[in-house]
Order: sequence, then C-alpha cells, then structure tokens
Amino acid sequence: METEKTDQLFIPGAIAPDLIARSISRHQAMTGTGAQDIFLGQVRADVIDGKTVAAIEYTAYESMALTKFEEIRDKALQQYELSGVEIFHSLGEVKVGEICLFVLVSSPHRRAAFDGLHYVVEEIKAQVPVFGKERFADDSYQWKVNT
Amino acid sequence: MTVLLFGITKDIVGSSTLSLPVSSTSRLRTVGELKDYLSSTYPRLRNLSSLAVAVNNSYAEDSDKIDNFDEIALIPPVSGG
Repeated sequence: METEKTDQLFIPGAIAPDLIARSISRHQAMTGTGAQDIFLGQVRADVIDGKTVAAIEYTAYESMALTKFEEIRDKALQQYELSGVEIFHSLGEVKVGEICLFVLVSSPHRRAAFDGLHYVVEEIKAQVPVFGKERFADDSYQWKVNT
Repeated sequence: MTVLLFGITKDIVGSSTLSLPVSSTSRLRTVGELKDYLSSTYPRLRNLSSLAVAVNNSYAEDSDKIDNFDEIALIPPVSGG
C-alpha cells in the first residue's frame, strides 16, 4: 500500500490550521482512501493552585523522539489497515487554545482509521520524549506530566 | 561518561549535560547502578513519578550494561501532545 513520508515532524511554535488543511488535501490524491481521521492536541488553560496556564513550552530529546515517532508510525502501519500516518508536534512556545499535536491517519475503511489513530496518539503520549513546561501568567512554571 | 538531561532533570541538575568523571563511572556497569548513583547525588530525582534512562536513543532496563561510548539520557515523565 502506498504510504507517504513526512518531511518535517517538529514545527516551531503552534501548528497552523493551514498546515492541517494542506495535509488533508494531500491525502485526497490517495484515491484508495475511504476515511481520514485526525487528532488535534490543544493547549488547555489548566488552573493549578489558583494560577492559570498561559502557554506550554515544548522541548524534546529530538533524536530519540524522531526514532520513537517513526517506530510508532511503522507499528501502526503494520497493525492496522492504514494507507498513511502523518504526525506533527510543536517545539517551543504554544499558547492556550493553539494546536500542539496533529496526527492524521488514512485508511480504506473507517474502523481501521479510528483504531489506528487511537493507537498512534496514545503511544505518543506515553513513549515520546517530549517535555512540556506549563507557563503561568506570572512567569512561574511547572513541568507537565501526561496521565 | 556524559549524561544528557531533559525536562525537569535539567532543572534538578542545573545543566543540560552532566559529565561524570571516570573515577565515578568506572564502577557503574548497568543502568540501575547509574540511576542509584545519580539519585544519591541529586536526591530530588527520587521525587519524580518516573525516571527512565535511554541508551543510544532507546529506553533501557535497569539490568542493561552501559559504557563510556553509549549516548545516555535521563528521561523524566514525558508530556508530549
């Protein structure tokens, strides 16, 4: 099955809506596709000890993160009937309400798309060495932990 | 031996890399021994909900062997996405 490689996985700052639109359009050329499913991770204004998160600043162990993203993508393509997996993740500052993770999977059929997308997002959250520093309005911060 | 630090481990140690002298590392043969050594030197590492070690870009087990040529990194709880 034809699969597409992504060129630039890490994006400086927030992921812009037009990048998402372009990815969706690109997949329209894959005429064996019957379903695309996407996940958008958005920075939430959590309130912690009375202080509200204003932004998350992402850093990563980049070489290992890229290896992990590739492993997750390969496993998803092996385990589910997918024709494409695209992953984009922000580095640097992403403000509340902006998008920090974009995953798109495509498949001939919806069920594989739902299941494959779920797998990819959960694996990213658990495995990939990306670290989010939650910044508050007063410039204090705390390190986020995925649950 | 050089250890790369990320996220909160960088704050705890106060630097993005930690160079360990041969006098300390010659006795450290496994990932578990390295973790014990670092946790006793930087006790705040013990407060983390998890602390993994990556050897050459892969998560390692405590029993895995390490040497000076490996790329070693401390991985605190991840928070991507």
